[in-house]
Amino acid sequence: MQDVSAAVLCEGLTKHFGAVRAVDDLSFTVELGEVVGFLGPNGAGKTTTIRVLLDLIRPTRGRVEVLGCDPRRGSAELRRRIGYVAGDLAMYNRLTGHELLSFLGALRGNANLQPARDLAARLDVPLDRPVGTLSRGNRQKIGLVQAFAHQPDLLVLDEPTSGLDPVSQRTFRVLVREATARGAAVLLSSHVLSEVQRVADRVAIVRAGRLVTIEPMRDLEAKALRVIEIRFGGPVDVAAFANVPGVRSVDIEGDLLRASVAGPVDALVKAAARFTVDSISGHEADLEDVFLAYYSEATGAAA
Amino acid sequence: MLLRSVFAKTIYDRRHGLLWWSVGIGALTVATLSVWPSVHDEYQKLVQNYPETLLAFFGIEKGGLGTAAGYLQAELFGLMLPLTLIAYMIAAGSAATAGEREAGTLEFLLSQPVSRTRVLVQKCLGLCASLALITAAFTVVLIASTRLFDLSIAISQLLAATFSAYVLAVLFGMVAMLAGSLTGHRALAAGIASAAAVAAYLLSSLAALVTGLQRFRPLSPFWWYSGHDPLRHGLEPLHIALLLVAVLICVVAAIVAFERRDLA
Ligand SMILES: Nc1ncnc2c1ncn2[C@@H]1O[C@H](COP(=O)(O)OP(=O)(O)O)[C@@H](O)[C@H]1O
Ligand SMILES: [Mg+2]
Repeated sequence: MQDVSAAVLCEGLTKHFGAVRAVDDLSFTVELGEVVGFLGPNGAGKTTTIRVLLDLIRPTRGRVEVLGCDPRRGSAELRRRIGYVAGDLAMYNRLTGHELLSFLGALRGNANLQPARDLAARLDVPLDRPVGTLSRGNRQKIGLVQAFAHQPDLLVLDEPTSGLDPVSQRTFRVLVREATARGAAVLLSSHVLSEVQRVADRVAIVRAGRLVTIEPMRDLEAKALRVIEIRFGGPVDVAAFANVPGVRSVDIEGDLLRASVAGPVDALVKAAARFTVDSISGHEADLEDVFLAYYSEATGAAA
Repeated sequence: MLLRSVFAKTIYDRRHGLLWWSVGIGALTVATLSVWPSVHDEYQKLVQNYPETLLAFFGIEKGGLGTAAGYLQAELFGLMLPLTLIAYMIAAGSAATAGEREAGTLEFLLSQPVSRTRVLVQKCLGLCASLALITAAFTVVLIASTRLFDLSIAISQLLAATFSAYVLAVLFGMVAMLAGSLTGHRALAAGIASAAAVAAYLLSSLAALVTGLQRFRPLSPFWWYSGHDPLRHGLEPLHIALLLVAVLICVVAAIVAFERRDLA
């Protein structure tokens, strides 16, 4: 109870399934009001960790606290304060959206279904058809509706945007921001960085059940390689850019320079300023490369 | 609204099944009883020619020969009725938690603010209530048919036998529920419960034929169900109590198992 603000606290969390070490000595926290991206390749142990938080499975070892409670002892009362979208989302396919939401409302002892209906309208998902007849994306939206509608203190979202169209993904990001704005914590898992990049405050990367790193999104972004393209008024010599700080590689074709830069591009721009510059264009940081580098680093360390 | 609780939803989910099982049992009952007027004169002679061991196997007492009670015991209550009710309850009991786990919906249900014990207890009660509806439909058809086809037997005796069959089927439903909580696999749970039911049936009926088995007969739930011949003698409180205690033990064990295991 030292860290009263932590919405999620895992300390040495370990879960074995027979010989499989799904999660191995994992420690991290999610504070109230922040979004933590939970990243890792398939089979890294994200879903396993998340199921422990919901008390669906029991850890082999380690301390877990969710909103200040042991998930097992917190039980139903604790889950009242959590919104959850499962990775392999399976809801009652024969119920319509309306029926499903009213059933969930009854379990919660909450007769007011209006917030859920409003949310369904915002996500543009039909509630009058059996859930099983909906497209994967629309089923996923119903999953989001039931997780967000009761304004939980903690949202645990296991790859929630898979199958969502770009418009709904944007609505999803707005919902996440609304939740953190009222002080909720969000744990958002994904196997692709770009899905969490725009909403996460911090990122925890796991691989083979172990934590590789947990750090602020900006730090991660700073490590990303940016590709900068500069078109000059005439041919330039590659030697002029050989030792510019931050530049990892340069390539010149006639009057077009293409450089990969880590961190600030200031030095490159100043080096270019000695020549006539026609245009500069930059591509968004390719975080996927950073992410992949972490994975392979971890492989290297394990070997 | 029929989706106010896990209990209500358990019944609601089975509504089509309820209808068809009731229609099936009702048709079986009418068919069985409708031949009574044409056979009941012949029946006494017919069963007298049965080997005595066969009569014992079907739980027909000497004194019951040729009576409506004996006929109902041999043709309906001896095997067909308990078999049908038990089959319903085993299918429903193994689907209730193990089936939901395999479908992935148990994870969804248990991520909601409901405790595992509450989910399990309400599912058990829902199954018992759904079986009560089927049994009630059967009872109505049975009583009407005995009146229509001139089987002279008191309603109280019919109710006693039907109630015993109901409790017996509840027991094997709860065995399926327990097996489902222990294994997490629907087909395995159904298999275990079916094996238990067959073993209990054989123990009770074979014990009539095999001298060495005779003293184990009181251990079989089938014996608790019909050993005292409720169609002729009404309910035997001890036997009903034994059935109910066995039900309670299964439910408590199922809760303990369900609370402990990984459910996703
Ligand atoms: N119930 C289970 N039984 C056995 N192995 C499991 C079970 N659940 C997960 N695993 C294994 O644990 C590892 C982590 O899985 P998971 O947590 O689902 O990864 P992720 O969600 O990151 O893709 C995988 O190797 C997976 O096969
Ligand atoms: Mg997963």
